Amino acid sequence: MAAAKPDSELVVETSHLTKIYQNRQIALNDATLSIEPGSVLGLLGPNGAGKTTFLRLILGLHRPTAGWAKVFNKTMTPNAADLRRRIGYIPTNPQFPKGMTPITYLDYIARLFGMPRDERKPRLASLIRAVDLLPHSGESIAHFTPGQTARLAVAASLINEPDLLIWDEPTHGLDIEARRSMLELIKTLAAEKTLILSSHNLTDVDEVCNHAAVLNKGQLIFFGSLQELKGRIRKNHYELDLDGDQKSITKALGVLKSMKEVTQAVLRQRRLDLKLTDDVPNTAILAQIFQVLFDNKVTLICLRSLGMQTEQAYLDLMEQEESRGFTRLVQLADAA
Amino acid sequence: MDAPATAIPFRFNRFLPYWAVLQTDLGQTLRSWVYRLWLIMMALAALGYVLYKLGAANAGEYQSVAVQTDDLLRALAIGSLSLISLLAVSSISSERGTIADSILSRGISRYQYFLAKWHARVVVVLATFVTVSVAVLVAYSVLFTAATNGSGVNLTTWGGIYAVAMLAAVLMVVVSWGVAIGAMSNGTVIGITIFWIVIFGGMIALSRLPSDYPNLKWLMDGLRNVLRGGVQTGDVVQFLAASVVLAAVGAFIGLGVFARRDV
Repeated sequence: MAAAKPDSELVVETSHLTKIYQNRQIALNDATLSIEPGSVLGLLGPNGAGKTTFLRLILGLHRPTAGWAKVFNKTMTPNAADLRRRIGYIPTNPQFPKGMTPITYLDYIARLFGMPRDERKPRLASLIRAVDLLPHSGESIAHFTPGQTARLAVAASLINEPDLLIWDEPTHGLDIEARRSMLELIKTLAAEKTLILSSHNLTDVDEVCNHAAVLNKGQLIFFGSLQELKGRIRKNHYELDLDGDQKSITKALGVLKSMKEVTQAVLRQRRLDLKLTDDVPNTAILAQIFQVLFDNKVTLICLRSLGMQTEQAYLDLMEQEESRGFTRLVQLADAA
Repeated sequence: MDAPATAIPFRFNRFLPYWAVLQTDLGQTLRSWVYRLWLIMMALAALGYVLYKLGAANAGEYQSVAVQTDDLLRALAIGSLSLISLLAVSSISSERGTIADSILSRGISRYQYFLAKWHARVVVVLATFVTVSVAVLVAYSVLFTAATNGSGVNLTTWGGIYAVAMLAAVLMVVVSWGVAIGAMSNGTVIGITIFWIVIFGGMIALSRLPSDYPNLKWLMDGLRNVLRGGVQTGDVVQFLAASVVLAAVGAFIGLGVFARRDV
């Protein structure tokens, strides 16, 4: 977790944030975190983990059952319109009122923020140009493709020049090109704004985020820097793509399995999955492995450290969380 | 990274969010199939009834104009209830979830959103009903004056104004409670169910009021008398005031609940 910072520096702060829907479903349980200015936070978790609930609580669309959420050092409530004026939000599947064009929609959103005409008209024109919707500015939104819809939602979230951007799965449903543009935009915006991005796509998070929060079944199981998340997992899991005679590879595999530093060696086609012991520095073991491959005339095509992948870190975290069982309660009592 | 700015980077007009929702909702309501269906039904019913009665009058079957307009206005008001309830209840409940996300996540408070929605629906329903009713009264006065040489037209101008105003007041109460219930319920269907329970409950409660109190039953039973001008202005004012209070109470309850609930 991030160390506690003075209040004046925090963009978002939550304390024991809990949401229980109609005493039937615990959507979020005791989430405490703080987001500093300039952070790009990736909110991760499987479906139903509580990501959208968390975002809606921060926006004041939902009221917490317990705990609180502060935005810009003020408690967020359903009527805190002054706080929401500084937030740009994109919901998961943006929906638009019927019969509107990009111009009328952005004008409507700008008026919802209270922007007077002489400020909102130039602003919306610039945004329509910036998101490449100029040729479609007079068309009905109802006929837009997912990519155009996403770009319009981006424009709507930026119209009030917000300090905090909350984007719920911004790359959801986009083709490769549109996704690439979106990621580039996020990188650009990250230079001057604080962002919270909910995503299923760990590659996206890896590319643009510097902080991560992982939710699982409503529980915040990790919050910290992305490096911290990657650093949590073992650095002893490797994948080797091999080339050479099948007999040689099988022979080398036999030797590797006999090494006491190798805890697991599984060959699938020509891909070798290796897990090493933590007792010895990995460089020493890898040197021995390379020697074995060399001795058996096996060529190494590619070596991957699975431990450095955010996706693996995330999956390991999930696995650990699932296996904790009742120890959660013990840790809770210790924390109390 | 710099600390976040302490103020929004644009001049802020606090009434714009209210106007934005009000204007958009007015436009959407006028374009909605429910509204168009209601308008067509009212127009067809009024036109058909007037033409039928005019034909009957020309054939010598004379009936008091006050009685005819009473029948027609009552039919229009009561016949419109189901569509008006749909218009009112769906105002907020139909936007729950995704569209509310797009609107309520912006710089608008729940109060402004609710008030804008309420006012938009009240304005649309009352303006439409009053327009059609006035058109009916004018048509009756003009056509029946010609058909009967003015001998049998027993409508008075003030009587007509009072009758339309009182029926509009009833619809205002209905719309206000409809919008409020829609804001408090989780879906339009549930909202409409609750709405009808409230309407019938309210009618039963009103029927228990003292007989000299100008309640709904009093209005419906005495509408033809009102049309003839046989009603005291004080009674009309009292009825209108009571309706405004009832509508305000409904809206106040809806506003209070909506401002605190999840959307």
